[in-house]
Amino acid sequence: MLRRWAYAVIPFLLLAAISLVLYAVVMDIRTTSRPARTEPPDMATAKRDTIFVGVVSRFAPSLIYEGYQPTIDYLNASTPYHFALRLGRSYEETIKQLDRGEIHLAFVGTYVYVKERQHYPIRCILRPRNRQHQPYFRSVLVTRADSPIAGPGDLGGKRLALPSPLSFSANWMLRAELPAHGLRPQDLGAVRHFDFHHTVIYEILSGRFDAGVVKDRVAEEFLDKGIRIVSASPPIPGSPLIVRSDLDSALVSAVREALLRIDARRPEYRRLLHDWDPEFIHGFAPAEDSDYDGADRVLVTGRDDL
Amino acid sequence: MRAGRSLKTRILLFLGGLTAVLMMVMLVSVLLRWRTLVLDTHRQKALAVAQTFASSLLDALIYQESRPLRDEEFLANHIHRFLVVNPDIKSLALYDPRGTPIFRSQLAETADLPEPFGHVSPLEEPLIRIYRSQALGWVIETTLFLRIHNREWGWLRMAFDAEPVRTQLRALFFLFYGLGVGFVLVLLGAAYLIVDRLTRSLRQLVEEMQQFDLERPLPTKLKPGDDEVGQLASSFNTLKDRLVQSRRQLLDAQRQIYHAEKLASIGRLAAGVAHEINNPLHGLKSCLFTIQEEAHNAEEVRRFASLADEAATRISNVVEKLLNFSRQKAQQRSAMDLNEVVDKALALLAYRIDKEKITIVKELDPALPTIYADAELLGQVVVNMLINSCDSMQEGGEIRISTSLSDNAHVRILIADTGCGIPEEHLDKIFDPFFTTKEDGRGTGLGLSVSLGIVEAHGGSIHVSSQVGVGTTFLVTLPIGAEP
Repeated sequence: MLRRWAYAVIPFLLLAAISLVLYAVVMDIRTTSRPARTEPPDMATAKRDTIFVGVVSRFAPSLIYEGYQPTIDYLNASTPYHFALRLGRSYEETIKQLDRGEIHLAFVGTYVYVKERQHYPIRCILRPRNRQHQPYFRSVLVTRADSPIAGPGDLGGKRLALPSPLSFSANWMLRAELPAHGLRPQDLGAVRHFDFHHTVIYEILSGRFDAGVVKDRVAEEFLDKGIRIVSASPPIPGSPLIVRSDLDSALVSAVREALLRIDARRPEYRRLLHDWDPEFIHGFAPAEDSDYDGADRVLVTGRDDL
Repeated sequence: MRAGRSLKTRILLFLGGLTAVLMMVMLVSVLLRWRTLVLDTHRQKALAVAQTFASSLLDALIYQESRPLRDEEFLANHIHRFLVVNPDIKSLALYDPRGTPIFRSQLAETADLPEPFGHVSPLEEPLIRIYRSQALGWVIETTLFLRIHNREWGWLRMAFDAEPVRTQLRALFFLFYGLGVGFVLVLLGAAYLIVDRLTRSLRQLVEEMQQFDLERPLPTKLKPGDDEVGQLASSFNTLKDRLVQSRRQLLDAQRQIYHAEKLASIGRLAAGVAHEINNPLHGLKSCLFTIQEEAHNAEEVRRFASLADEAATRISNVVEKLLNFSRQKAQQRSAMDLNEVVDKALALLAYRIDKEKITIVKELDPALPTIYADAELLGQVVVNMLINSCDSMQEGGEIRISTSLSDNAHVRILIADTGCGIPEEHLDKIFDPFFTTKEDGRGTGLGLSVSLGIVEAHGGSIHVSSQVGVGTTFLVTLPIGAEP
């Protein structure tokens, strides 16, 4: 009789024990900690004087850093200096910071540089290359592929989307192309500026605007997505890296030498440039103030007579 | 049949055990997998919230360091606003790249959170861990390294309340447990019903087998069916009918054999009687004829009358023996010494034994117990056997006679001779009445029949073994018996 009771009770005791263990296993959700590495910080870097590079915060600051920090990392690794980004809320603020010595270098747009070099002691030292490895870009007038607009002369009464008022592309259209075709902004149906070149493209594709002006690099991304280029500017030097005119020449030389060393046609540099801002992924070319004289003239005449 | 070993119990135990084990393995596997998914979901959710906040925090940090006029409260306000709209975050702490706290929420200042790092060290991937803190309870802690490429801002540690995870897991555990137990019970119930239905027919079959009596066959209660049990019941019914029929045929055959044997015995008896009576009857007729022819010769008449009387006496003796065989003398049992019976029988035949130069080897057990039997009848048995032995030897020979204790309840008498022996084909007939191989006038064929009747009437038996040309051995076994 006792044996029979044991046979009947033991399975239940076993089941209860397994259930308790299982419950404990299910409810114990702790995970083992992964030991963190214990590398000391780079004190040598911390002790070096920081060279600030100004960038206009056109996007969220973290996105600006995503694009520009790799360039800073490269400079930190390739020169004896320690570089850091410094965001400015506007191009004017960045130019003033440069003028006050709060920053030492700055990435600015072509139009801003052409405009502000007349007022501040600044000079350009480098300019970006395009996909063809040439040190210029073009501003292009784009429409939807099915649009009847064939050129700037057809923009009368049409809605025109433009990038920032401080961009070369917007000023090329407003100050050179429209007058060249006998048009004024008020002759158009609507003119509106957007913060980003990509936004201009999206507005055209959505049909809210009939035409727009962007950099050729951006337009080429959408050629097979319903966008057509109907007009282009002459070659324009790209957004330059500028410095205060009296900046230590050794620093300038170090920066120029490091960035000019990059040859985007070589695989090892293509890997390096992969995370850089799209403006710089084809490398840099030397820049002189005179390189931008042509851009000045384009804004006035619509043509580069150089 | 013990219930613990019944087919039903074994099937249920096996099925129940197997089902329970399989269910347990399956449910535990699914439960653990589900648990992993729940934990992963909450970890991913915590990570997503942390990464989203880290992104905005990075913007705030960048803004803060880029503004010409530093707003010290900007960062704190940003974090506080985030904590207000995310109440499930129990603590939040921000460290600079050297591990120095920049901001710590109220709970984070007192919580016993283990340090995520010994020193400043970039993590390649976010660190997510779950543990129990004395101050905060169960938490999911995420540690993110705030960096963009090589630019480092520091560490963000966030502890999310993990108690809802445990609540969810607890509910999941009991849901699976209930499902498992319920499923096993339902399966066992269904199995019980099916097995009971199956074994009910078998139990009826077993009961019918146990109650089956060839002497009094009862009509069957089993219903033949299409399934295996039904076929078994049908086969059993057929087998039962065949057994009853075979039993009947066997009884008929036995009756026929008995009848045939009876007829054969009567035939042998009649032949024996006729043979035994016929000779003296012819002698008697011859004497009467002579007396009739020689009536004037008184001397001859007297002589043949005497012969006639002798023949009539022989006929009378035959008839008397026949009557004794059929009636059997009433037993008068009393305590007796078997050795004494043997000695008296030998003394009775002493003249013949000496005359025929037969050697007697006597091995009587002096410790033989007293038995309770009819001494006169047993003496007749021993005499009959000794006469048979003497008759089997032509000139001289040896008769060995012994008594001994067979077991605690029986004694035995062994009489072995060196006579001519009995052919094998006659061995099963020597106890038949009037069966004899002796020449005419030397035996009636009733001696061994009478002896077997006497011994069996005492509850004993006679075993005979013989080999032609070597001799014959009779072994008489008798029960010691009890005082009447």
